[in-house]
Amino acid sequence: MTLTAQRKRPPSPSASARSDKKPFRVQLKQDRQMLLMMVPGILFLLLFFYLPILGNVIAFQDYQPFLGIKDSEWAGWQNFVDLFSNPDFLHALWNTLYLAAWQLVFLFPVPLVLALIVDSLMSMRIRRIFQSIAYLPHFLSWVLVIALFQQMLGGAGFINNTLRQFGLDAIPFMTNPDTFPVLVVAQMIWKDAGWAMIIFLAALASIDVSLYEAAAADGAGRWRRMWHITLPGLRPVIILLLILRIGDILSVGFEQFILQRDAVGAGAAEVLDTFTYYTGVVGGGWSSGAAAGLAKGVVSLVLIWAANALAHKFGEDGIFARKVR
Amino acid sequence: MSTLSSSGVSRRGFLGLAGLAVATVGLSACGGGSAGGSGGAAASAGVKLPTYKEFTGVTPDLAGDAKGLQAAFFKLPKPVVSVKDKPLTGKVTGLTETFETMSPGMKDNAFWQRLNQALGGELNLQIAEDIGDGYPAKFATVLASDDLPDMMWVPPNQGIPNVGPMLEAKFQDLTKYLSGDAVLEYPNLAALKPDSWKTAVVNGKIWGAPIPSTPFGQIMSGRHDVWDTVGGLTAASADEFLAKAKELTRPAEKKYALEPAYVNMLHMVTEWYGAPNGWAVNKDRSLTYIFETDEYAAGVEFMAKMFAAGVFYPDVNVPDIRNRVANGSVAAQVLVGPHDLKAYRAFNKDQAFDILVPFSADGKVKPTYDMGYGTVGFTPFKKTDEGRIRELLALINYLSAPFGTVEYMQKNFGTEGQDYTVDAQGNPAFTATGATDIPGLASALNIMSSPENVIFNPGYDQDTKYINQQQKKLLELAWRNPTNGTYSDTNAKLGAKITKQFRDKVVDIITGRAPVGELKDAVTRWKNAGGSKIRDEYQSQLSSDVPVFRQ
Repeated sequence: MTLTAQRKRPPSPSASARSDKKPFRVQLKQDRQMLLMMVPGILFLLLFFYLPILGNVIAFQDYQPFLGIKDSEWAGWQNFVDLFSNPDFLHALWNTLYLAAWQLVFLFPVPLVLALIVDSLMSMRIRRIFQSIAYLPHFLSWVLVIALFQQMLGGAGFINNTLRQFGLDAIPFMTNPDTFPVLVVAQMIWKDAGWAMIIFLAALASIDVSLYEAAAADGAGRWRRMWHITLPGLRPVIILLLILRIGDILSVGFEQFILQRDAVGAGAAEVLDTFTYYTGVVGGGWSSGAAAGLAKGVVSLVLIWAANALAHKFGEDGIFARKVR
Repeated sequence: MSTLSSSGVSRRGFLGLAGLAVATVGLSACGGGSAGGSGGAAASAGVKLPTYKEFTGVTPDLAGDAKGLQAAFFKLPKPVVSVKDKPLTGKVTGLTETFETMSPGMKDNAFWQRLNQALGGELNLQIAEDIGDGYPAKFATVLASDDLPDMMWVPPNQGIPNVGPMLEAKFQDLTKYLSGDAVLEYPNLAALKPDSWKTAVVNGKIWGAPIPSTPFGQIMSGRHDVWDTVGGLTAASADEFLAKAKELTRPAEKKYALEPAYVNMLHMVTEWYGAPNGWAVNKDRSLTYIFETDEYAAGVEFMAKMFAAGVFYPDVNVPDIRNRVANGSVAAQVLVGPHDLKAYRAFNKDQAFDILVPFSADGKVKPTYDMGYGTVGFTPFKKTDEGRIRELLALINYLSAPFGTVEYMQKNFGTEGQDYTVDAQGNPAFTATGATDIPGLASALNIMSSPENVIFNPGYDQDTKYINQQQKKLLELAWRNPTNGTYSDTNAKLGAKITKQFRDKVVDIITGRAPVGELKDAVTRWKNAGGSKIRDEYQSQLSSDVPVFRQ
């Protein structure tokens, strides 16, 4: 991980001071090739990310596609007022936070544990096979993942059909709204834990082996070495991923939920993204859909900033390092 | 919405799995007859509809009638010419949608080129695919661009808002060219039925030729031999139906009675209880929505009872439901209409399939059958001069040529020997190039222009006869939605959203996630969230010729 590597190297004040002295024009000339290479990427971002952001103004309008942004009436904050007094929106918000909490507590640690297990495997061959098996499901679409779960756990799935053959009652794994969070987290672990493991594995590889050797020579056992060397070594990456996760916390997923919404009902499966889809796209309420999306974006931004600030408090870089003085 | 298209969410179904849920929305939207647009019913009632002049060039094997019975053909008749002169002199552009895999573009599509030759010009279509936000999004963008094609298909039930003002602002009023006897200049348009034309009238003006689809609504269907073991796909009461369904449900053998499309199944059940088709016209000409009726509540309660009895297939997402009905592992499903029965034959050539005629839920109440909207909207023209209008009308006249005409064959099958061949029974089959070039384009042409539909199942005369016979029985119970052809702005704006909210709750009740008592609250919420306003808007434009539902 370059991030950990950079962190270990103290910032070189002389280097930055030198470049600051050069006039802007000279700096441009010096980095000409690099800058040229960045142009397509920047254009892409401008065109497909920053420009569409302007479309968010429809959140403040009573937008009609037939009239366009230019001629639609302005509504001020009304869409937001309506949104926060809509019990369905509040319900979707609550569901989102509830499911996010489940994900944070039960999903987040799994790749870390997996990485530690894989890292302790001695045979490189077994290790590679295990890694491949663990991260391949990431490349399956949600439609397939849920179809697989339904084949196994569904009302007419393998397990329930087997139960029936033994004269037992079927268990509603896929349709019980109360156990839905467990199902969702299980699906996410199955699909993505192996993929998320890769980053931790890379971070593990960057820990200096001589530290382990020295600790072992001093008589530190397996657990002590993990506690005092492995985990501290992983801390920056864990914090970084946690911040990213928190900033993204309101995006618990879309396809996974819309695909299972009919099975467990809107009460359990309506999250912010599906709410936005049904009000905005299906219901034709483009403006209130955009307002919901915008509110979500603002909250995420605040969360990511707060988490980053907290990371700084604990002496970590987080995602935006503090300005080098 | 890149996330949507990348995952392949479409109205037809994303990779099959969610097809069911999405299709449910699609079907019920059609069944409920939700329409977008705005008022002017008083004016609309005053417009003189185009004179109806039946097409007599070919004689169907089983005749249709004005009530809605569809004409039926056992064999392809020898095509007759219905249009003398080539309609086009130059280039015409249009916006439409295909529900099949897209055909190759005009340059690489011999069928398209030959069609252009037959038309005498160049018919250049922008074809949207039924993926993601699909047609309404494409329609909105093209409309906002202000660079309109010559003609644009306007679907009635995909929530295109403000249809009235939009038409007045951007499209051509065609009343002068089509009203009364004026339409006789375009004989294929005169062969469209008055019920179809009603859906092309907004603000008292005719905006284009309607695009007829089946006049029938959803039906329940199942495999004949499966239901024969329990005495046939009918019952003397709802409870008897449930008893039959229980008998057909044998989880240990992986057999279940009903497709888990709860909203569609509920629609079938409420017909047994005699619920209205969308809106009930009361004696004082006020309106009551189906959600508010006791019949509907009784239907919901019965559905919950059926769910608790375990007669529905236990997983909600069933991608291959039609195949399951065809192979007998699910006993019954809901189809868009009687004509759709023929699709089973692709899966199972040897079995006959039945259509359920609604029966009385308790032996006393008179059941109802809900007819559909009847058309898929109309295709208005961009504002232009009289010469151009006549050319475009001639084009639509060509494209609306009835079954059994040379023009119909050209539009749907192409040129014999090149695009299709005729088998020993005289029925057409695509050649290899025809199979690539035609279905996508023909689907796009048929959604923007169509003659009155006929029943035609080459090789399955028994099916054709059976469909015709069941259609007659359904017509005896038939009701049409009294608001068809009128428009409510509030419905266009909020209808889909509040209906979804309401149905979410109803499905919760059916599947036991919410108590039956919560239905009342859901109705109140629906009323307050816009239902009452929608009622007022429809009520103020209620046409005087729709019959009273309750005496």
